[in-house]
Amino acid sequence: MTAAFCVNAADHSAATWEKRLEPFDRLEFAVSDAAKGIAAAVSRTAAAHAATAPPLTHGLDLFHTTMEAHRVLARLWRKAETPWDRADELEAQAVDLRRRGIDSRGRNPAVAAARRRATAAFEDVERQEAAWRRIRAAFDLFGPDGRLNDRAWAEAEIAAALPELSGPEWRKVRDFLADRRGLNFLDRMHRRLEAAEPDPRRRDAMAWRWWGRHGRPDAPADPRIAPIRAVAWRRPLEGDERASYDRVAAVLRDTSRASSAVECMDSVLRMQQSRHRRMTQSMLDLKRLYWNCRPFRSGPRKAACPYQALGLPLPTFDFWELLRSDPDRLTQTLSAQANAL
Amino acid sequence: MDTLSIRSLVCNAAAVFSESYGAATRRAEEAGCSRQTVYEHARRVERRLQPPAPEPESAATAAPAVAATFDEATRRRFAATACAMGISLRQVEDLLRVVLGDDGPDHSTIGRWVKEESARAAAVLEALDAGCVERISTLALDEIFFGGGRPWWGSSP
Repeated sequence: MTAAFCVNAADHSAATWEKRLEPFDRLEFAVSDAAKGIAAAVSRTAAAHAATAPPLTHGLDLFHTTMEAHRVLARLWRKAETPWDRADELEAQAVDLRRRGIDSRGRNPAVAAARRRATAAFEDVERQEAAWRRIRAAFDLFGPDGRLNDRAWAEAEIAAALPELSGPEWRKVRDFLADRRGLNFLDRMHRRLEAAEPDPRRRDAMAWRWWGRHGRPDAPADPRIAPIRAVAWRRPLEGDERASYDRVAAVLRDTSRASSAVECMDSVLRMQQSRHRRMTQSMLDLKRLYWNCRPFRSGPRKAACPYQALGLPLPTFDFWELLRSDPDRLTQTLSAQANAL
Repeated sequence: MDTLSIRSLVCNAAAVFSESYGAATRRAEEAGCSRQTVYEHARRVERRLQPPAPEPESAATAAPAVAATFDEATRRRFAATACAMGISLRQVEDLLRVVLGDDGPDHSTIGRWVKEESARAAAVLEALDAGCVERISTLALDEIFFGGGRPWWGSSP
């Protein structure tokens, strides 16, 4: 969650991005939206690092796919409310006529037709929402049964649900879903898991244990399964098993699908944008240092700041103390630590 | 100087606190002192048994002392932190004047402080970024449009 760089640049071309990515020679995965400049820069950097560094993969940020789907669904739900309101209105008119002793039977077909239209509109949006939920579940690390998700299963689920999202309003979401980079995080996860635990049976078992402890599995239909799960998920591990589980857990914890970290920083910058006329490079630097030193208030990284979470060996993580410290001495400290590793 | 034992003192006080008719007179006769002395002993015992009064606020927590510790270094820190959070110079100026009154710095002074601290941040970040690079294996990249230029981001999840 560390803001690694932030530059007020004149353009957002591939060359500009490539220059910024150049120092990151240990980069394995870059996640972004569908910006062409970023994609081209990642592709060039991957080619440049191919000989000396681990392979670099580009993943499509699922945050934007999800946001776009929610935006479409919100619009569809608003649209579906109109025929429902019309049906309510017609029904209220018919009730009012009956209350006044006027025969309203002639209006019944119109009321029934309006109600049918409203129900059909609701059911249509419900169907589309269910399809989107099925697609969204295909982005999870695990399937509903606790097995590790993979590209084949995720693509099958997306393909099965996609026909329901055929309207023109879903075009952008369909384009996102058609991009193979969207599921690159699953390929990378499996590559890293294989390196972490070569034995496939043990790997699956450890991943299933992690899912039981950190996911939100549904209660089993068969009550006899519950004690088996409890033993498998909660039993203390020792020796090789413990080490294997720790390696698998580290990979699963560190699998990123969306650039939520960078979206958090965007919200900080937008707050600044609403109050300041200009955004200078020096102000960006001040903000980056401050937010990199600010401890998280909640979550798994609670009480640690981004620099701490990254493992940077600094004498202090206090924003003000760091700001007053000597940059040359900081460089020496970090270099000495890097040499010691 | 007390010439009576603690026991006599407490007994005298008990006679007064019992509030029974003639108890103080009888006790004065038994102890060989005046009724006035018996009542005086009751007051002394009562004072001793009362809980201590709260200490007056120390000078360290009083408002003027806070203002006194709000020196220029602290004001600089306040201004730099507030601007890093996203608060504007004018708002920082108003907030400082809540605490410091007319002694608070104006927005041009605050702007100068923030500019100086931002320059320091750039130098510190140069050292820190070099240490971060080798630890980063995943980057989230994004660009955000601010009008003239385009700041863009790299963030390690």
